[in-house]
Amino acid sequence: MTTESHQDDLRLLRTNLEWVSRQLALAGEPFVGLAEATAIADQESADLAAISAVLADHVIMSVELDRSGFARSTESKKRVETVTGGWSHYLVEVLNPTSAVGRLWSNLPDGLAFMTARESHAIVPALYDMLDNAPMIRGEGVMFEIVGDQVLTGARRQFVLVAIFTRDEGPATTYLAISAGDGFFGFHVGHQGASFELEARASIPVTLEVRDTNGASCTFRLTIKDGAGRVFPPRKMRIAPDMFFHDHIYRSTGEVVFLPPGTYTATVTRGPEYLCQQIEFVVADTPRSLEATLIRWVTPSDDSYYSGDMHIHAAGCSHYSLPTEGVSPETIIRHVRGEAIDVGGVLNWGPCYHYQKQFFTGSSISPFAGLEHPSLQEANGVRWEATATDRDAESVLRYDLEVSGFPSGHSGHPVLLGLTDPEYPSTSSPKDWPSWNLPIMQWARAQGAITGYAHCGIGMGVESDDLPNWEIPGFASVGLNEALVDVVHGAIDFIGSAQEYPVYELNSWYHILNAGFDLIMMGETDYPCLFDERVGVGRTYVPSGTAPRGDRGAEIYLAGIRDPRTYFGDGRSHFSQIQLNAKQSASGWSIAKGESLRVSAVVRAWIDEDPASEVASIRHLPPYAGPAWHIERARVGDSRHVTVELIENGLPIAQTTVLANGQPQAITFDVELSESGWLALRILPSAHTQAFHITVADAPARPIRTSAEWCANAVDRLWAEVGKFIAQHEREEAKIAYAQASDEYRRRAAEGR
Amino acid sequence: MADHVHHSGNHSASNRAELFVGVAHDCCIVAPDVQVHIAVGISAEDRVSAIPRHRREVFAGSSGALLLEIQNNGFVTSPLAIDIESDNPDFHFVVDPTPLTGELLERRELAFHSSGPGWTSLALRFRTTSLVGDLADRDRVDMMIVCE
Repeated sequence: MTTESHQDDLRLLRTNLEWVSRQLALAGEPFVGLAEATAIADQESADLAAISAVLADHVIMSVELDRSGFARSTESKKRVETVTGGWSHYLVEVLNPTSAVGRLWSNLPDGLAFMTARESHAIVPALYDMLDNAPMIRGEGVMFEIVGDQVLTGARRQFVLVAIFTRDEGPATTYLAISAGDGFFGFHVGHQGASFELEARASIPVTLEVRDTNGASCTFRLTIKDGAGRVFPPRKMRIAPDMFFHDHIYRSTGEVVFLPPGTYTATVTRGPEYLCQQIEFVVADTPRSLEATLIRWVTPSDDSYYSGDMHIHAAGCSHYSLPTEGVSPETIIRHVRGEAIDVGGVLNWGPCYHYQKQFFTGSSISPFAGLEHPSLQEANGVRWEATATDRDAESVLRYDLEVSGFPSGHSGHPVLLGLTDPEYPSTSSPKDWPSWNLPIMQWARAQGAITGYAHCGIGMGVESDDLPNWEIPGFASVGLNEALVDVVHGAIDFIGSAQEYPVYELNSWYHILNAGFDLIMMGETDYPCLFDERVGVGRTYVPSGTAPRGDRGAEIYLAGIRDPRTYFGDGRSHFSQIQLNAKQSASGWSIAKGESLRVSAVVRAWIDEDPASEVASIRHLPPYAGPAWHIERARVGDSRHVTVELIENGLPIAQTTVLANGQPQAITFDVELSESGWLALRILPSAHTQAFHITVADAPARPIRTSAEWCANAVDRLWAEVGKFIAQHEREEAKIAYAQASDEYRRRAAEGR
Repeated sequence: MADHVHHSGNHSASNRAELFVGVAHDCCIVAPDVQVHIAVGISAEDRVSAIPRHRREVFAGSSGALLLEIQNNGFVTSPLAIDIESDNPDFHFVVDPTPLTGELLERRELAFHSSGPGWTSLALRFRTTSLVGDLADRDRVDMMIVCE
């Protein structure tokens, strides 16, 4: 060994130990002796073995690597102490006589650990299809993790910081192997690892005394992190109702989380109508409670508005299909309540269709948010019990259908709300359904359902950022698509939005309205397909004199959906008391020629006071990057103001700015309209009302020629794009329907202004 | 949307062991064909997932191509965009900008060129028209290409 290489070793080791020290400080778990070891490494003549001796209590394994990075020999402690529900840190001493460099790998020897190693994949989605998955879940109670991005540095002695998560109290046997090199194949059968006896002591119960603004018990969103940024409970160890693709969980007042002693930050909220509050708290050795009162900055129900997210899935996409074929109503209602949503539309669709169909009742439900599949909960070591809350009845679910994963998927995804019969006639399986959508829409409408298309902006990308614009999109995916045809045939009520770049979503809506067709736009999430984050990312607020509660709750909500005062968006800005000083009829409002029209409303909006805050950084993202609908994108400069616009036939005609501090701000626009048309209020990209149809001097609204032409050309493009996917035996009928739609748009264009 | 190819250096790949295990997420099925390097699934909801056949692919010479098998359950006809992070500034991909056909199954080649022998650590994120990436990173593949 040369002096020079020894100094290199010490330099690398000092850096190594300093990094370990910083990580442990973040985790709140300082190691006795680490400072001493670092001090030894500071000495030019330091003995590497002396450093190992000082750190011996923290070293669980010593590994000597060969030139290829394989473990040549391994020695380990035989018994390691951990704590349940948390991470315990140890060091692995790596002896690297050939000064190899490269990646470091760790693994458990068998079973699910291989399959769950990816950072955000949980155990449950990777389960095999077995009759009983509980034994497998029960057997996966330990995780190892190499902390951070540690690599093999080339030092001949290195200390790798590892963390051990233990789920279950008491003794357990586990195994760890460390390898290095340029690829995973450092591991091979018979690789050198070591077994350990773990002794896990119990973590500490923390009772959640988090209450709503008025002291009522409620379900809320909760994120718990330690100083190192680790999330509790770990995503990999979660089963429903906790989602492996979330950092947060949903809990109710009085429920319990179990945490090891340490310092934590909890973030609590109930969705965008509430503020996010951060609470630092310490868990010592005795049970404690975590107390907080949520802060609601807006209560739409005070103005008789009720929220809904009518596009939620309980299976498919990010949900696991095995072993439970998606999640249960008890899980979904917990999430809906935790986001303070009044009505949740749970849409059965292709994945797990036959299993989830059992939850369709044709009415609204508000079940207790219990823990589904008790045997799996028990196997996963779940020790908390669900509790009912004062707010439970304020949220309802209705199971309905999204025609997605069906033969007509290329034509867009029908969302059918308020169905009484979810089975298309003479079918036994989704594969038997029509390969285009108009027959489906007509069948649903015949039973009184509200019909529309999901995520209308997908595949509707164009080069222009103008709104409106006249580019014809490529219909490259499952967006607006056949809505353009079905609206002409009077078969749909709405299209879904508040998900994609507003230009992609609103442009076609404006053109359809300008062509003279009435169409509602609804905010929706498509959780967890378009958005994994949570339910209620996109929402629709419906005015109703009756709160949507009980087994007709969703029906009450849907009955109000056609009210033009309905608005949709991200839930961070709100309209109420919308008034037009004009004569109102069932079809809209009417004014005399030359008469001024006053449009007034109350606006409430909330954006972070600090324009440099983390959430405020959203406004700097490209407009088509998610979240596309977020009030931060509406912030005027660095102010706390947002712009409210009044639009006529899709074009702004008046605007004002309001302070987005949560307080009610009265707005008034006085405008003169030369012709009949439609108006709407918007705060882009955060909230948008429906169209207020205005008749001037009793003259019916004339279509706008360029919009009707856009619609006609778009139908032609759509047919070219998707017509080939329609089954041969249905294609002719579909072709006729498309031609009728195209002809009608062209007829209106010819008559238009 | 125009530029489907970019490189950003200093990508530090996950240090976690991963195995191709053949467990597919819904709509993403790995074909038995050994030539396929990455199986890309597009769900009915236009959600993209990807699974590599192997985490480490060895090629003779400094050029080659990864074969992608795309199971398109969403009838998507946009280009398959790929965001690429690499720790090797001399390693380049050429992404095929041709839109997908919308057919259930199709294959594409992802050609690459490296300036010389060695290994390149890559993170490939696949996407179509949807603006929203996968929180659980199922649209991302971490792999290594070794040019011998």
